[in-house]
Amino acid sequence: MSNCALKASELEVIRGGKAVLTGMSFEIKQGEVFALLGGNGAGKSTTLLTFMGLLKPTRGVAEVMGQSAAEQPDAVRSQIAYLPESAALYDHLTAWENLTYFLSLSQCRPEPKALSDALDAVSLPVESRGKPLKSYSKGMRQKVAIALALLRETPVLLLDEPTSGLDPSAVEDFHDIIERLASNGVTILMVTHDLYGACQVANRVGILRAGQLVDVFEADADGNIEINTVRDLFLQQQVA
Amino acid sequence: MNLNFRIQQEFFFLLKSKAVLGVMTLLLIMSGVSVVLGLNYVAAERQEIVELIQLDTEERAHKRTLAYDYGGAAYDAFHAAWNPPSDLTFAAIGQRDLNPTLMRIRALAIEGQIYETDSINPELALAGRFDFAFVAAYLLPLVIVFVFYDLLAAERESGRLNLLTVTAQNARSLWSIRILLRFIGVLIAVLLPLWIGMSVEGASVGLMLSATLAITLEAVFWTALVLVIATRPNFRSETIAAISVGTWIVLTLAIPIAGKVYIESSVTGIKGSEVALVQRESVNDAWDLPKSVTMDAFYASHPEWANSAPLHEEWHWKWYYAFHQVGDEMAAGLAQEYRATMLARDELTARFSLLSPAVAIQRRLEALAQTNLSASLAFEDQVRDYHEEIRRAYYPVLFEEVPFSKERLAQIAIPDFSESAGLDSE
Repeated sequence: MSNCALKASELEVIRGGKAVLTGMSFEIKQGEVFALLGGNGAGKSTTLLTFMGLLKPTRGVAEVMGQSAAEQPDAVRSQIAYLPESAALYDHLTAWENLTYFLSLSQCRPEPKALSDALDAVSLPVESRGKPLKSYSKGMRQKVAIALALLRETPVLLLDEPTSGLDPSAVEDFHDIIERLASNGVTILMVTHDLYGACQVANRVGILRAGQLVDVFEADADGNIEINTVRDLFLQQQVA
Repeated sequence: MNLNFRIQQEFFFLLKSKAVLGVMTLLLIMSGVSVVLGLNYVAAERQEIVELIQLDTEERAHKRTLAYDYGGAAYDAFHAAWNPPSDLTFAAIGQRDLNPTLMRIRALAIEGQIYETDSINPELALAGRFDFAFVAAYLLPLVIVFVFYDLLAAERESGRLNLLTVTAQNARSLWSIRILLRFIGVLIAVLLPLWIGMSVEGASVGLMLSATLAITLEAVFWTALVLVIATRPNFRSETIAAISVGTWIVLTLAIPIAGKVYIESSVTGIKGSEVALVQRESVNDAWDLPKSVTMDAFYASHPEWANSAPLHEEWHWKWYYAFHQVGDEMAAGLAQEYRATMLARDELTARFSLLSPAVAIQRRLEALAQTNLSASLAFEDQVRDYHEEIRRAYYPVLFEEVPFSKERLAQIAIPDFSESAGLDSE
């Protein structure tokens, strides 16, 4: 695959003496949205941490844009924007201040208009933007975190339970953003419990169980994934 | 440009961190209070010196108008001797609380005059003085612990660490500026009042740099120590705080206390008051001895006066001063022993300072401020030399039995202590 953005080859990761990933392999093309579904402890977050170079595999390789995350973590991270589940930004700073501070970490100096556009894109109310995040709901914080990911303008986006805690309207907005990014060539790896959301937005959905990718479902020509089949297998894996 | 922006943002972040900023402000206030108290202390000392010199001069002049013999004139003439505060004394008062810095001496036995004041303010010495050295030794490390202990753990516990690391691309670029700015903030908070105080005192640039370097090295030590603990991957913030404060207790309290106990038990010796006692007893005993015993002993050590006219039964000042001098000589060995004991304790304290940064910084500041043991002993030596000058001024008229006259008395010129000790007249 020549236009491969993310690649896991025989990935094995041990955390706290326990094998969390046990020889997982997959590839994600540039501009593709790939959702990893799995229960608690299946290895979803570990997969993301390994691609970010924050965990080193005991065996195998995690590559981002052709570079090994374990061997060239700085270079890999410059290609990645990450959206954590808890949208852990600074509560005492406003949305503007959070975005400006985090972007300064990646040596970016954002224009006010770019910040404004990003916050518009996630539909954060204008009157909230100058208030500290401690006054925000979880969904609003998540929107700020998504805005940060947008502003990074990286070719790869890693999402950890991105719709957790969002109301249905915010989830719809989020899916729109994901589709827009993908159409612009951004590669997205999303780990989630949200079966329906994953099937709605992803080009492919993988089922992760005990550190192994047990099945992958691909969208048809219309972009749809057979949700019932995925659900059955997912639930089956959960029970197993 | 991006680095400037990064620094600017990190500075803004620091300004928004109220707890960190608050503790830095507290350090600034404590440092400022210590400097103000120190400046007041040295101002009072200087005023006391000026007043003492003036009063002594007036009193000596008055007493000379009443004098009717040279011995009586010498007996009544007190001469001020002082150890002037240096440009950094306000920051490290050190031994000046314990050892005399201001004396009124006369031609009588010197050892008693030195050691009868060897413990000016024992209650204050017990509590310790709140000076800048105290702030630097005890409070600065605590502030550093507070500022740095949860630097990493707070981010990890709030779930931000991964996002921060990925966004910054590496830990070095993430932490280096934040650590540096906090470190500079702490340094400015502790040093700014010191710099102002030293400017007020007219301290040299070299002294300022030396004091700044000492404090900076201490701050580097504590910051590095706390960061080593704080960057352990599995430590929670409360664990880091407990270990850091525990380390502070060991290094600033336990080791110095253990050192003090060890030094006092291992280096035993006489006290200054014992030197004074031996000298006083020698003087007192001399009243009951035949005069010839005292005079023989005196002439043996001072043969230049051996040709003085023999004494008769009646009172004579030269016998009186001779037995005072013999009293000093009787106590000289003990005085040396006392000094050796103090130096031995000081040397052991220096070794303990290698284990305790609190002791090390206090000793360094006291050395720079000339308020340490060496400075106290040097002052004692200056006083002894000055006292010798006073004796030499009176002995010729006493031992050569020059007939008394006010004109001859007026010719007995004794230099001011500042001249004798080579002090700056200012």
